[in-house]
Amino acid sequence: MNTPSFRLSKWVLTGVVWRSFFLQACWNFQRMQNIGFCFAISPVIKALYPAPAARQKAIKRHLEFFNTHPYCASIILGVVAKLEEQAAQAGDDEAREAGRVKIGMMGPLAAMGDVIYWVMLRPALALVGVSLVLFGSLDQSRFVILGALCFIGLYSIAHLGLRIGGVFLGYNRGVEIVKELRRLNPQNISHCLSLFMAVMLGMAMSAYPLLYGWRIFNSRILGVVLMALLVGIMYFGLRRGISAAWLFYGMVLLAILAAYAGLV
Amino acid sequence: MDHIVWLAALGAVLALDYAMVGQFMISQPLVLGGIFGALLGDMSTGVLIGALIQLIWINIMPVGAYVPPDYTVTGGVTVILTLTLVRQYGFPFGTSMVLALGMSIPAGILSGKLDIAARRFNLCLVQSAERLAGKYGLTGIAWANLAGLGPAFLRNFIIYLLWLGPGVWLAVKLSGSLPPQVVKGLELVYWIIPALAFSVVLEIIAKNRVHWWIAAAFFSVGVCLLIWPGKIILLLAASIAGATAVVCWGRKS
Repeated sequence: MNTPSFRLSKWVLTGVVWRSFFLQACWNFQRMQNIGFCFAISPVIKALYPAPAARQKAIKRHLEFFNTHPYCASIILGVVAKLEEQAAQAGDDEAREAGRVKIGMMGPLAAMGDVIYWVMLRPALALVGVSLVLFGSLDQSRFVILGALCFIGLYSIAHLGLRIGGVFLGYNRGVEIVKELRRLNPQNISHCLSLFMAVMLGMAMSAYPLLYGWRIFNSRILGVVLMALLVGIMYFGLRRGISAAWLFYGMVLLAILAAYAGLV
Repeated sequence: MDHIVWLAALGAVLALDYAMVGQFMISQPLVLGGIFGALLGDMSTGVLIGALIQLIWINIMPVGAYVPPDYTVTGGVTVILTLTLVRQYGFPFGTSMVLALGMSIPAGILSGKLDIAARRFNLCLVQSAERLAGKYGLTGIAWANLAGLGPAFLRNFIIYLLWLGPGVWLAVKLSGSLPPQVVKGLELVYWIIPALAFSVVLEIIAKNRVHWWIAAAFFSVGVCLLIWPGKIILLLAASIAGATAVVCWGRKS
Protein backbone atom coordinates (compact mmCIF):
# COMPACT_ATOMS: atom_id res chain seq x y z
CA MET A 1 0.00 0.00 0.00
CA ASN A 2 1.40 3.36 -1.00
CA THR A 3 1.19 6.10 1.61
CA PRO A 4 2.43 9.40 0.24
CA SER A 5 2.33 12.09 2.93
CA PHE A 6 2.38 15.24 0.89
CA ARG A 7 0.00 17.94 -0.24
CA LEU A 8 -0.88 17.96 -3.90
CA SER A 9 1.21 20.62 -5.60
CA LYS A 10 -0.19 23.68 -7.39
CA TRP A 11 1.00 22.15 -10.65
CA VAL A 12 -1.14 19.08 -10.12
CA LEU A 13 -4.20 21.26 -9.42
CA THR A 14 -3.37 23.47 -12.42
CA GLY A 15 -3.32 20.28 -14.50
CA VAL A 16 -6.80 19.47 -13.17
CA VAL A 17 -8.02 22.96 -14.16
CA TRP A 18 -6.64 22.58 -17.70
CA ARG A 19 -8.10 19.12 -18.14
CA SER A 20 -11.49 20.20 -16.75
CA PHE A 21 -11.96 22.16 -20.00
CA PHE A 22 -12.29 18.75 -21.72
CA LEU A 23 -14.92 17.44 -19.28
CA GLN A 24 -17.56 16.94 -21.98
CA ALA A 25 -15.28 15.81 -24.82
CA CYS A 26 -16.64 12.27 -24.64
CA TRP A 27 -20.14 12.94 -23.27
CA ASN A 28 -22.34 9.85 -23.63
CA PHE A 29 -25.93 8.90 -22.82
CA GLN A 30 -24.94 6.12 -20.40
CA ARG A 31 -22.51 7.62 -17.90
CA MET A 32 -22.47 11.17 -19.29
CA GLN A 33 -19.27 13.01 -18.19
CA ASN A 34 -17.59 9.97 -16.62
CA ILE A 35 -14.62 9.73 -19.01
CA GLY A 36 -14.17 13.51 -18.91
CA PHE A 37 -14.14 13.48 -15.10
CA CYS A 38 -11.61 10.65 -14.96
CA PHE A 39 -9.46 12.53 -17.50
CA ALA A 40 -9.68 15.74 -15.46
CA ILE A 41 -8.78 14.09 -12.14
CA SER A 42 -5.97 12.01 -13.66
CA PRO A 43 -3.10 14.33 -12.51
CA VAL A 44 -4.30 13.69 -8.93
CA ILE A 45 -4.46 9.92 -9.50
CA LYS A 46 -1.01 9.98 -11.05
CA ALA A 47 0.45 11.92 -8.11
CA LEU A 48 -1.22 9.89 -5.34
CA TYR A 49 -1.15 6.32 -6.66
CA PRO A 50 2.17 5.31 -8.20
CA ALA A 51 1.42 1.59 -7.67
CA PRO A 52 -0.42 0.12 -10.73
CA ALA A 53 -3.07 -1.79 -8.72
CA ALA A 54 -4.12 1.25 -6.62
CA ARG A 55 -4.05 3.45 -9.72
CA GLN A 56 -6.34 1.03 -11.59
CA LYS A 57 -8.78 1.07 -8.65
CA ALA A 58 -8.80 4.87 -8.66
CA ILE A 59 -9.40 5.00 -12.42
CA LYS A 60 -12.26 2.53 -12.12
CA ARG A 61 -14.06 4.46 -9.38
CA HIS A 62 -13.86 7.69 -11.37
CA LEU A 63 -15.32 6.02 -14.45
CA GLU A 64 -18.67 5.76 -12.67
CA PHE A 65 -21.65 7.90 -13.72
CA PHE A 66 -21.03 11.63 -13.41
CA ASN A 67 -22.97 14.62 -14.69
CA THR A 68 -23.05 18.22 -13.54
CA HIS A 69 -22.73 21.74 -14.90
CA PRO A 70 -19.35 21.89 -16.70
CA TYR A 71 -18.27 25.08 -14.88
CA CYS A 72 -19.34 23.95 -11.41
CA ALA A 73 -17.57 20.61 -11.89
CA SER A 74 -14.35 22.38 -10.94
CA ILE A 75 -15.52 22.68 -7.31
CA ILE A 76 -16.26 18.94 -7.21
CA LEU A 77 -12.88 18.19 -8.79
CA GLY A 78 -11.16 20.21 -6.05
CA VAL A 79 -13.08 18.50 -3.24
CA VAL A 80 -12.48 15.04 -4.73
CA ALA A 81 -8.75 15.83 -5.07
CA LYS A 82 -8.69 16.66 -1.34
CA LEU A 83 -10.59 13.50 -0.39
CA GLU A 84 -8.37 11.33 -2.59
CA GLU A 85 -5.32 12.89 -0.94
CA GLN A 86 -6.70 12.19 2.54
CA ALA A 87 -7.61 8.62 1.56
CA ALA A 88 -4.16 7.98 0.06
CA GLN A 89 -2.46 9.36 3.17
CA ALA A 90 -4.60 7.11 5.34
CA GLY A 91 -3.69 4.13 3.17
CA ASP A 92 -7.30 3.67 2.07
CA ASP A 93 -7.23 2.94 -1.65
CA GLU A 94 -11.02 2.55 -1.81
CA ALA A 95 -11.68 6.28 -1.08
CA ARG A 96 -15.45 5.66 -0.82
CA GLU A 97 -16.02 9.12 0.64
CA ALA A 98 -14.87 10.70 -2.65
CA GLY A 99 -17.52 8.76 -4.58
CA ARG A 100 -20.26 9.69 -2.10
CA VAL A 101 -19.35 13.38 -2.16
CA LYS A 102 -19.26 13.36 -5.97
CA ILE A 103 -22.77 11.94 -6.16
CA GLY A 104 -24.06 14.27 -3.44
CA MET A 105 -22.68 17.45 -4.98
CA MET A 106 -23.32 16.96 -8.69
CA GLY A 107 -27.10 17.44 -8.66
CA PRO A 108 -27.33 20.72 -6.67
CA LEU A 109 -24.33 22.21 -8.49
CA ALA A 110 -25.82 21.29 -11.87
CA ALA A 111 -29.05 23.09 -10.98
CA MET A 112 -27.16 26.12 -9.68
CA GLY A 113 -24.90 26.36 -12.73
CA ASP A 114 -27.77 25.94 -15.19
CA VAL A 115 -29.83 28.70 -13.58
CA ILE A 116 -27.01 31.19 -13.09
CA TYR A 117 -24.83 30.64 -16.15
CA TRP A 118 -27.01 29.18 -18.93
CA VAL A 119 -30.42 30.67 -18.20
CA MET A 120 -29.43 34.11 -16.93
CA LEU A 121 -25.81 35.29 -17.12
CA ARG A 122 -25.09 34.29 -20.73
CA PRO A 123 -28.30 35.87 -22.13
CA ALA A 124 -27.86 38.99 -19.94
CA LEU A 125 -24.29 39.63 -21.13
CA ALA A 126 -25.24 38.77 -24.72
CA LEU A 127 -28.00 41.36 -24.48
CA VAL A 128 -25.49 44.00 -23.35
CA GLY A 129 -23.11 43.02 -26.16
CA VAL A 130 -25.82 42.97 -28.81
CA SER A 131 -27.20 46.34 -27.63
CA LEU A 132 -23.72 47.83 -28.00
CA VAL A 133 -23.48 46.31 -31.50
CA LEU A 134 -26.94 47.41 -32.67
CA PHE A 135 -26.92 50.93 -31.29
CA GLY A 136 -23.18 51.55 -31.30
CA SER A 137 -23.02 50.91 -35.03
CA LEU A 138 -24.96 54.14 -35.54
CA ASP A 139 -22.22 56.18 -33.91
CA GLN A 140 -18.91 54.51 -34.65
CA SER A 141 -17.94 51.03 -35.85
CA ARG A 142 -15.57 50.58 -32.91
CA PHE A 143 -18.60 50.15 -30.64
CA VAL A 144 -19.57 47.11 -32.74
CA ILE A 145 -16.30 45.36 -31.94
CA LEU A 146 -16.61 46.56 -28.33
CA GLY A 147 -19.98 44.76 -28.11
CA ALA A 148 -18.41 41.39 -28.93
CA LEU A 149 -15.41 42.06 -26.68
CA CYS A 150 -17.69 43.16 -23.84
CA PHE A 151 -19.68 39.89 -24.04
CA ILE A 152 -16.70 37.54 -24.20
CA GLY A 153 -14.62 39.57 -21.70
CA LEU A 154 -17.23 39.84 -18.95
CA TYR A 155 -18.39 36.26 -19.44
CA SER A 156 -14.80 34.97 -19.30
CA ILE A 157 -14.23 36.72 -15.97
CA ALA A 158 -17.39 35.11 -14.60
CA HIS A 159 -16.77 31.54 -15.76
CA LEU A 160 -12.97 31.34 -15.64
CA GLY A 161 -13.07 32.77 -12.11
CA LEU A 162 -15.26 29.86 -11.03
CA ARG A 163 -13.44 27.21 -13.05
CA ILE A 164 -9.92 28.13 -11.94
CA GLY A 165 -10.85 29.29 -8.45
CA GLY A 166 -13.29 26.40 -7.95
CA VAL A 167 -10.62 23.68 -8.12
CA PHE A 168 -8.35 25.48 -5.62
CA LEU A 169 -11.24 26.49 -3.36
CA GLY A 170 -12.68 22.98 -3.38
CA TYR A 171 -9.25 21.54 -2.57
CA ASN A 172 -8.50 24.01 0.22
CA ARG A 173 -11.91 23.87 1.92
CA GLY A 174 -12.68 20.20 1.22
CA VAL A 175 -16.22 19.05 2.10
CA GLU A 176 -16.68 22.19 4.20
CA ILE A 177 -17.35 24.05 0.95
CA VAL A 178 -20.79 22.41 0.82
CA LYS A 179 -21.87 24.57 3.78
CA GLU A 180 -20.65 27.72 2.04
CA LEU A 181 -22.42 26.79 -1.20
CA ARG A 182 -25.67 26.34 0.74
CA ARG A 183 -25.48 30.02 1.69
CA LEU A 184 -25.51 31.05 -2.00
CA ASN A 185 -29.00 31.74 -3.20
CA PRO A 186 -29.29 30.95 -6.93
CA GLN A 187 -32.91 32.19 -6.99
CA ASN A 188 -31.82 35.62 -5.78
CA ILE A 189 -28.99 35.81 -8.32
CA SER A 190 -31.40 34.71 -11.04
CA HIS A 191 -33.94 37.34 -9.95
CA CYS A 192 -31.33 40.10 -10.04
CA LEU A 193 -30.15 39.07 -13.50
CA SER A 194 -33.73 38.97 -14.79
CA LEU A 195 -34.25 42.54 -13.48
CA PHE A 196 -31.09 43.58 -15.33
CA MET A 197 -32.35 41.92 -18.52
CA ALA A 198 -35.78 43.54 -18.12
CA VAL A 199 -34.29 47.06 -18.13
CA MET A 200 -31.99 46.24 -21.06
CA LEU A 201 -34.86 44.68 -23.02
CA GLY A 202 -37.16 47.66 -22.41
CA MET A 203 -34.40 49.99 -23.58
CA ALA A 204 -33.67 47.93 -26.72
CA MET A 205 -37.36 47.50 -27.62
CA SER A 206 -37.85 51.25 -27.50
CA ALA A 207 -34.54 52.39 -29.02
CA TYR A 208 -34.44 50.02 -32.00
CA PRO A 209 -37.64 51.21 -33.75
CA LEU A 210 -36.92 54.86 -32.84
CA LEU A 211 -33.47 54.67 -34.41
CA TYR A 212 -34.15 52.35 -37.33
CA GLY A 213 -37.96 52.39 -37.68
CA TRP A 214 -38.13 55.37 -40.05
CA ARG A 215 -36.37 53.30 -42.70
CA ILE A 216 -39.39 51.03 -43.03
CA PHE A 217 -42.40 52.74 -41.52
CA ASN A 218 -41.66 56.43 -42.27
CA SER A 219 -42.75 57.19 -38.71
CA ARG A 220 -40.84 56.71 -35.46
CA ILE A 221 -43.92 56.42 -33.25
CA LEU A 222 -45.61 53.95 -35.62
CA GLY A 223 -42.35 51.98 -35.61
CA VAL A 224 -42.40 51.73 -31.80
CA VAL A 225 -46.04 50.61 -31.73
CA LEU A 226 -45.51 48.01 -34.48
CA MET A 227 -42.36 46.72 -32.81
CA ALA A 228 -44.19 46.24 -29.49
CA LEU A 229 -47.02 44.49 -31.37
CA LEU A 230 -44.62 42.21 -33.26
CA VAL A 231 -42.78 41.30 -30.07
CA GLY A 232 -46.12 40.47 -28.43
CA ILE A 233 -47.25 38.25 -31.33
CA MET A 234 -43.96 36.37 -31.49
CA TYR A 235 -43.84 35.99 -27.71
CA PHE A 236 -47.30 34.42 -27.93
CA GLY A 237 -45.99 32.08 -30.66
CA LEU A 238 -43.01 31.07 -28.51
CA ARG A 239 -45.28 30.43 -25.51
CA ARG A 240 -47.37 28.17 -27.78
CA GLY A 241 -44.27 26.07 -28.42
CA ILE A 242 -43.39 27.34 -31.90
CA SER A 243 -39.61 27.45 -32.27
CA ALA A 244 -37.70 30.62 -33.16
CA ALA A 245 -36.61 28.96 -36.43
CA TRP A 246 -40.23 28.41 -37.53
CA LEU A 247 -41.17 31.93 -36.46
CA PHE A 248 -38.33 33.22 -38.62
CA TYR A 249 -39.56 31.27 -41.67
CA GLY A 250 -43.14 32.43 -40.97
CA MET A 251 -41.90 36.01 -40.80
CA VAL A 252 -40.14 35.63 -44.17
CA LEU A 253 -43.30 34.21 -45.76
CA LEU A 254 -45.55 36.96 -44.38
CA ALA A 255 -43.09 39.71 -45.41
CA ILE A 256 -42.94 38.38 -48.98
CA LEU A 257 -46.76 38.17 -49.11
CA ALA A 258 -46.95 41.75 -47.76
CA ALA A 259 -44.53 42.89 -50.46
CA TYR A 260 -46.63 41.20 -53.19
CA ALA A 261 -49.77 42.81 -51.73
CA GLY A 262 -48.06 46.21 -52.00
CA LEU A 263 -48.10 46.85 -48.23
CA VAL A 264 -44.35 47.44 -48.06
CA MET B 1 -11.99 26.56 -52.96
CA ASP B 2 -8.91 26.53 -50.74
CA HIS B 3 -10.23 29.21 -48.45
CA ILE B 4 -13.56 27.36 -48.11
CA VAL B 5 -11.71 24.30 -46.77
CA TRP B 6 -9.78 26.47 -44.29
CA LEU B 7 -12.92 28.30 -43.18
CA ALA B 8 -14.75 24.96 -42.79
CA ALA B 9 -11.87 23.56 -40.72
CA LEU B 10 -11.78 26.66 -38.52
CA GLY B 11 -15.57 26.63 -38.13
CA ALA B 12 -15.47 22.95 -37.13
CA VAL B 13 -12.71 23.58 -34.56
CA LEU B 14 -14.54 26.57 -33.07
CA ALA B 15 -17.81 24.59 -32.99
CA LEU B 16 -16.18 22.19 -30.49
CA ASP B 17 -16.39 25.03 -27.97
CA TYR B 18 -20.21 24.88 -28.06
CA ALA B 19 -20.52 21.82 -25.80
CA MET B 20 -17.41 19.66 -25.89
CA VAL B 21 -14.25 21.69 -25.17
CA GLY B 22 -13.97 24.73 -22.97
CA GLN B 23 -17.35 26.38 -23.49
CA PHE B 24 -15.51 29.70 -23.53
CA MET B 25 -18.31 31.10 -25.75
CA ILE B 26 -16.02 31.72 -28.74
CA SER B 27 -18.46 29.58 -30.72
CA GLN B 28 -21.33 31.98 -29.95
CA PRO B 29 -22.47 33.84 -33.11
CA LEU B 30 -21.57 37.25 -31.64
CA VAL B 31 -17.91 36.26 -31.28
CA LEU B 32 -17.80 33.82 -34.21
CA GLY B 33 -19.17 36.58 -36.47
CA GLY B 34 -16.23 38.80 -35.49
CA ILE B 35 -13.69 36.04 -36.15
CA PHE B 36 -15.07 35.10 -39.59
CA GLY B 37 -15.68 38.79 -40.38
CA ALA B 38 -12.03 39.62 -39.62
CA LEU B 39 -10.86 36.73 -41.83
CA LEU B 40 -13.12 37.84 -44.68
CA GLY B 41 -12.11 41.49 -44.38
CA ASP B 42 -15.08 43.06 -42.59
CA MET B 43 -15.08 42.45 -38.86
CA SER B 44 -17.80 45.00 -37.99
CA THR B 45 -20.33 43.50 -40.42
CA GLY B 46 -19.45 40.02 -39.18
CA VAL B 47 -20.17 41.05 -35.58
CA LEU B 48 -23.41 42.77 -36.64
CA ILE B 49 -24.70 39.59 -38.35
CA GLY B 50 -23.58 37.50 -35.37
CA ALA B 51 -25.37 39.86 -32.96
CA LEU B 52 -28.73 39.40 -34.69
CA ILE B 53 -28.37 35.61 -34.73
CA GLN B 54 -27.09 35.57 -31.14
CA LEU B 55 -30.29 37.13 -29.81
CA ILE B 56 -32.66 34.79 -31.69
CA TRP B 57 -31.16 31.67 -30.09
CA ILE B 58 -30.00 33.34 -26.90
CA ASN B 59 -31.75 30.74 -24.70
CA ILE B 60 -30.51 27.60 -26.45
CA MET B 61 -27.76 25.57 -24.75
CA PRO B 62 -27.16 21.81 -24.54
CA VAL B 63 -27.97 20.93 -20.93
CA GLY B 64 -27.52 17.36 -19.67
CA ALA B 65 -29.15 14.91 -22.09
CA TYR B 66 -30.94 17.70 -24.01
CA VAL B 67 -29.21 18.23 -27.36
CA PRO B 68 -30.71 21.21 -29.26
CA PRO B 69 -29.91 22.22 -32.86
CA ASP B 70 -26.43 23.69 -33.05
CA TYR B 71 -27.12 27.32 -33.89
CA THR B 72 -23.46 28.22 -33.57
CA VAL B 73 -22.98 26.38 -36.89
CA THR B 74 -25.97 28.32 -38.27
CA GLY B 75 -24.29 31.54 -37.12
CA GLY B 76 -20.92 30.70 -38.67
CA VAL B 77 -22.38 29.63 -42.01
CA THR B 78 -24.67 32.71 -42.15
CA VAL B 79 -21.76 35.12 -41.56
CA ILE B 80 -19.59 33.50 -44.26
CA LEU B 81 -22.44 33.23 -46.80
CA THR B 82 -23.59 36.83 -46.22
CA LEU B 83 -20.11 38.33 -46.45
CA THR B 84 -19.40 36.30 -49.61
CA LEU B 85 -22.65 37.49 -51.25
CA VAL B 86 -22.10 41.12 -50.25
CA ARG B 87 -18.36 41.49 -50.84
CA GLN B 88 -17.77 39.20 -53.82
CA TYR B 89 -21.06 39.51 -55.70
CA GLY B 90 -22.27 42.94 -54.56
CA PHE B 91 -25.72 41.83 -53.37
CA PRO B 92 -27.55 44.11 -50.87
CA PHE B 93 -26.67 43.39 -47.24
CA GLY B 94 -30.11 42.92 -45.63
CA THR B 95 -31.45 40.60 -48.34
CA SER B 96 -28.25 38.55 -48.39
CA MET B 97 -28.28 38.14 -44.62
CA VAL B 98 -31.88 36.92 -44.43
CA LEU B 99 -31.37 34.58 -47.39
CA ALA B 100 -28.16 33.22 -45.84
CA LEU B 101 -29.86 32.74 -42.46
CA GLY B 102 -32.81 30.94 -44.08
CA MET B 103 -30.37 28.60 -45.83
CA SER B 104 -28.21 28.04 -42.72
CA ILE B 105 -30.88 27.07 -40.18
CA PRO B 106 -31.06 23.47 -41.56
CA ALA B 107 -27.25 23.25 -41.08
CA GLY B 108 -27.71 23.82 -37.34
CA ILE B 109 -30.58 21.33 -37.15
CA LEU B 110 -28.53 18.69 -39.00
CA SER B 111 -25.54 19.31 -36.73
CA GLY B 112 -27.77 18.84 -33.65
CA LYS B 113 -29.19 15.54 -35.01
CA LEU B 114 -25.70 14.25 -35.82
CA ASP B 115 -24.55 15.31 -32.34
CA ILE B 116 -27.13 12.93 -30.83
CA ALA B 117 -25.77 10.14 -33.06
CA ALA B 118 -22.20 11.01 -31.99
CA ARG B 119 -23.17 10.85 -28.31
CA ARG B 120 -24.62 7.38 -28.95
CA PHE B 121 -21.37 6.40 -30.66
CA ASN B 122 -19.51 7.58 -27.55
CA LEU B 123 -21.09 4.63 -25.69
CA CYS B 124 -18.54 2.44 -27.51
CA LEU B 125 -15.83 4.69 -26.08
CA VAL B 126 -17.13 4.08 -22.55
CA GLN B 127 -16.42 0.36 -22.95
CA SER B 128 -13.15 1.08 -24.73
CA ALA B 129 -12.10 3.47 -21.95
CA GLU B 130 -12.20 0.66 -19.38
CA ARG B 131 -10.23 -1.64 -21.66
CA LEU B 132 -7.71 1.07 -22.53
CA ALA B 133 -7.34 2.03 -18.88
CA GLY B 134 -6.58 -1.59 -18.02
CA LYS B 135 -3.92 -1.74 -20.73
CA TYR B 136 -2.39 1.74 -20.81
CA GLY B 137 -3.55 3.33 -17.53
CA LEU B 138 -4.23 7.07 -17.55
CA THR B 139 -2.94 7.45 -21.12
CA GLY B 140 -5.76 5.16 -22.23
CA ILE B 141 -8.30 7.41 -20.51
CA ALA B 142 -6.83 10.44 -22.29
CA TRP B 143 -7.12 8.67 -25.66
CA ALA B 144 -10.70 7.63 -25.01
CA ASN B 145 -11.68 11.13 -23.91
CA LEU B 146 -10.06 12.92 -26.82
CA ALA B 147 -11.39 10.34 -29.29
CA GLY B 148 -14.83 11.88 -28.74
CA LEU B 149 -13.63 15.06 -30.44
CA GLY B 150 -12.89 13.38 -33.78
CA PRO B 151 -16.48 12.64 -34.87
CA ALA B 152 -17.61 16.09 -33.66
CA PHE B 153 -14.95 17.87 -35.72
CA LEU B 154 -15.66 15.73 -38.80
CA ARG B 155 -19.43 16.27 -38.52
CA ASN B 156 -19.17 20.05 -38.46
CA PHE B 157 -16.37 20.15 -41.04
CA ILE B 158 -18.57 18.26 -43.54
CA ILE B 159 -21.59 20.47 -42.75
CA TYR B 160 -19.55 23.65 -43.24
CA LEU B 161 -18.11 22.26 -46.51
CA LEU B 162 -21.57 21.34 -47.82
CA TRP B 163 -23.07 24.72 -46.96
CA LEU B 164 -20.10 26.79 -48.12
CA GLY B 165 -19.40 24.89 -51.35
CA PRO B 166 -22.74 24.15 -53.08
CA GLY B 167 -24.37 26.58 -50.61
CA VAL B 168 -22.55 29.64 -51.96
CA TRP B 169 -23.33 28.58 -55.54
CA LEU B 170 -27.03 28.16 -54.67
CA ALA B 171 -27.16 31.46 -52.75
CA VAL B 172 -25.60 33.34 -55.70
CA LYS B 173 -28.06 31.72 -58.15
CA LEU B 174 -31.01 32.49 -55.85
CA SER B 175 -29.95 36.07 -55.11
CA GLY B 176 -29.54 36.82 -58.79
CA SER B 177 -32.96 35.53 -59.78
CA LEU B 178 -35.19 36.81 -56.97
CA PRO B 179 -38.25 38.86 -58.03
CA PRO B 180 -38.21 42.45 -56.67
CA GLN B 181 -41.12 41.74 -54.29
CA VAL B 182 -39.20 38.89 -52.67
CA VAL B 183 -36.14 41.15 -52.31
CA LYS B 184 -38.36 43.78 -50.67
CA GLY B 185 -39.86 41.16 -48.33
CA LEU B 186 -36.42 39.87 -47.31
CA GLU B 187 -35.21 43.44 -46.71
CA LEU B 188 -38.22 44.00 -44.42
CA VAL B 189 -37.42 40.82 -42.49
CA TYR B 190 -33.87 42.08 -41.93
CA TRP B 191 -35.24 45.18 -40.19
CA ILE B 192 -37.73 43.28 -38.03
CA ILE B 193 -35.52 40.33 -37.00
CA PRO B 194 -34.79 42.07 -33.65
CA ALA B 195 -38.52 41.77 -32.80
CA LEU B 196 -38.11 37.98 -32.85
CA ALA B 197 -34.96 38.31 -30.76
CA PHE B 198 -36.69 40.56 -28.19
CA SER B 199 -39.58 38.12 -27.87
CA VAL B 200 -37.11 35.30 -27.11
CA VAL B 201 -35.54 37.41 -24.32
CA LEU B 202 -39.03 38.29 -23.06
CA GLU B 203 -39.85 34.58 -22.85
CA ILE B 204 -36.78 33.96 -20.66
CA ILE B 205 -37.61 36.64 -18.10
CA ALA B 206 -41.44 36.78 -18.25
CA LYS B 207 -41.89 34.12 -15.57
CA ASN B 208 -39.99 36.31 -13.09
CA ARG B 209 -42.72 38.97 -13.19
CA VAL B 210 -40.54 41.85 -14.30
CA HIS B 211 -42.99 43.37 -16.80
CA TRP B 212 -43.19 46.69 -14.92
CA TRP B 213 -39.45 47.11 -15.25
CA ILE B 214 -39.63 46.40 -18.99
CA ALA B 215 -42.42 48.97 -19.37
CA ALA B 216 -40.58 51.59 -17.28
CA ALA B 217 -37.38 51.24 -19.35
CA PHE B 218 -39.37 51.12 -22.59
CA PHE B 219 -41.18 54.42 -21.94
CA SER B 220 -38.34 56.32 -20.27
CA VAL B 221 -35.80 55.48 -23.02
CA GLY B 222 -38.45 56.21 -25.68
CA VAL B 223 -39.19 59.68 -24.26
CA CYS B 224 -35.45 60.44 -23.83
CA LEU B 225 -34.71 59.44 -27.43
CA LEU B 226 -37.53 61.62 -28.74
CA ILE B 227 -36.13 64.59 -26.80
CA TRP B 228 -32.41 63.88 -27.48
CA PRO B 229 -32.36 61.79 -30.68
CA GLY B 230 -28.58 61.66 -31.17
CA LYS B 231 -27.54 60.50 -27.71
CA ILE B 232 -27.93 56.74 -28.05
CA ILE B 233 -24.52 55.80 -26.59
CA LEU B 234 -25.18 57.99 -23.55
CA LEU B 235 -28.62 56.41 -23.21
CA LEU B 236 -27.14 52.95 -23.56
CA ALA B 237 -24.61 53.70 -20.83
CA ALA B 238 -27.42 55.13 -18.69
CA SER B 239 -29.50 51.99 -19.29
CA ILE B 240 -26.66 49.69 -18.23
CA ALA B 241 -26.11 51.85 -15.14
CA GLY B 242 -29.85 51.86 -14.45
CA ALA B 243 -30.05 48.10 -14.90
CA THR B 244 -27.15 47.63 -12.48
CA ALA B 245 -28.89 49.90 -9.96
CA VAL B 246 -32.05 47.82 -10.33
CA VAL B 247 -30.00 44.67 -9.65
CA CYS B 248 -28.61 46.25 -6.46
CA TRP B 249 -32.15 47.14 -5.45
CA GLY B 250 -33.25 43.57 -6.24
CA ARG B 251 -30.53 42.12 -4.00
CA LYS B 252 -31.48 44.32 -1.08
CA SER B 253 -35.17 43.62 -1.33
